[in-house]
Amino acid sequence: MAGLKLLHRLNVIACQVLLGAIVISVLIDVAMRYLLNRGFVASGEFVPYLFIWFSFLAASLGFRQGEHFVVDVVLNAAGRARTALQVVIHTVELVLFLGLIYFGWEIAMQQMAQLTPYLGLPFGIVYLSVPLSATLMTVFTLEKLFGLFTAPPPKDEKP
Amino acid sequence: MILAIFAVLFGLIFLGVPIAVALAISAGSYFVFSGVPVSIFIQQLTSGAGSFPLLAIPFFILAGVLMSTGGIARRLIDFANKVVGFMWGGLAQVSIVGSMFFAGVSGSSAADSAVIGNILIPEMERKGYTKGFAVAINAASSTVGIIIPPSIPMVIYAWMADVSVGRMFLAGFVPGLLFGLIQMVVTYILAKRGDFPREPVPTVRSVVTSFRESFLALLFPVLVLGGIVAGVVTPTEAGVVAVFYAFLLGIFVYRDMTMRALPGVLLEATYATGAVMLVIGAATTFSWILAVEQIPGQLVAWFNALEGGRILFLLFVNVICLFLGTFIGGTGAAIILITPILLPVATALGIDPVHLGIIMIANLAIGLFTPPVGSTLFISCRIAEMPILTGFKHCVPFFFPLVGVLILITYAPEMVLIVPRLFLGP
Repeated sequence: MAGLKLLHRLNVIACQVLLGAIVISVLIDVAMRYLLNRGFVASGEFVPYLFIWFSFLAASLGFRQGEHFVVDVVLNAAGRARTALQVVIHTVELVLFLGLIYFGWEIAMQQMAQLTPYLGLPFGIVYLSVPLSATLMTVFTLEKLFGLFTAPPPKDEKP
Repeated sequence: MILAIFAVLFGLIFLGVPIAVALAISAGSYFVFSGVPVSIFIQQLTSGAGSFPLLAIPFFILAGVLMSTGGIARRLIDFANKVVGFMWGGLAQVSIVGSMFFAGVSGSSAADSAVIGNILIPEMERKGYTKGFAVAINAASSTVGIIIPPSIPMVIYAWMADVSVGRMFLAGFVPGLLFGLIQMVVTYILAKRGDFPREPVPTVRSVVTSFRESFLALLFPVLVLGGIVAGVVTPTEAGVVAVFYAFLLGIFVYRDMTMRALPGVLLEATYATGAVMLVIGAATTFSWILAVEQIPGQLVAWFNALEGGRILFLLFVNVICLFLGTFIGGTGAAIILITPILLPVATALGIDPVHLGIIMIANLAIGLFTPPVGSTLFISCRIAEMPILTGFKHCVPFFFPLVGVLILITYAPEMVLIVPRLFLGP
């Protein structure tokens, strides 16, 4: 479990750094354009890639924290069947995540030879965000799944 | 096939699978089973997060978090108290006007209800209002968060429908004001009947002081909108300027935030952005399927053949958006799902896309305080520790008048379009 905590912590830091970097790049871009009258060359291409990475890592964090939008009326009314229902939900999630890992990895590898127009980075690096974040989602979901059987029923998660 | 996909989608959502997961897995299975390359699915999933216009979303979220971490909300509420607190319904009126002010600095209703509710719900209880009424007023009034600009759902709609964000923002003004005003009227009537307490009449001097205190926060929406409307900055750039402005205000001007709070602020914005962007990505894959299956084309043909198709279509828009707003939650997902279906029909029937967007968002806003998934209702009930259904019972007096406003802006497009036309031309 200590490993999971570390993984979570690293993910948090990565997200904070990415978001900070996005804000600062666009801010510099705006400032240069209006104060110095010239664009900040890389940001137009670079920032959307950071944004993709940020979004998917942030989404994986959300699965650990229970931040994703859920309709929980049935879940709350399930009573004793709650655990069974949660197993079903987590299984559906796992199916999606494994699919994302498989197909995300496939497209990332296909696009490794394709270079981005300005920076010359392989497009595959952008798509790697999908299988990587899906791996994190898988790990965090497995953690929850095991938690259902080992830990006492957890307190209500945030919606 | 398409019906099966919808059945899977709603079935999974109903069971409690996260909405983004339900969308992605039902869309993904379409790709796998129909033999369409799954790489298209992955591309659609990432296309939203890879677009510069949608970068405005994390920026407006971050600006909103910065604004609620500092004492800005307190100042805005204090000013609202001075302006409307002495009226019948005292603190409830303050909650409405405070929400409208705060809507001008935040782009989401959820943030609005959490920030205002945390301050005002306990205070209303202390002053002798019933808990249910405090919850209801907070849940209903914070819906203006996404109608009064800036608004994250409007950014998403503008991206989907290819209309200008500035136009959408300006079009939100009149509906936002109407939403607020009708609630003030309802509150006035309820308060007079229930003899709710009023706040003391303020002295002129205290009004001036309070205005001066909150002036820089009130200036925020003017700067953001002004920059976009004047064409000085793009909406995304306006978002980042908003972040910078909120940062300066919190750290250097009001000084109720320290640099040490920044990592926490970034993390809070990260959670909110992650949830929104995943839903956007997943909904994009789903709407790709709807387009491929030519659902919009069939609808166009159908409504064109109808007598009075335009009026019926607008009714259809309201019904389907109210339904989605109540059952899917996450306004962003709903917009991405149905814009590609509704927009072609609207265009064919001569409905302005900006008008359509505002109708959709106003509907989704009402869905925010109706169960099962209304986020402002949920947040308000959590603050007051009250079951959702009990909370909603108290919201009912606000529900029908707001639906009335909805009908008004649906069938009188001029009310929506007058402000953008005034500033940006036809």
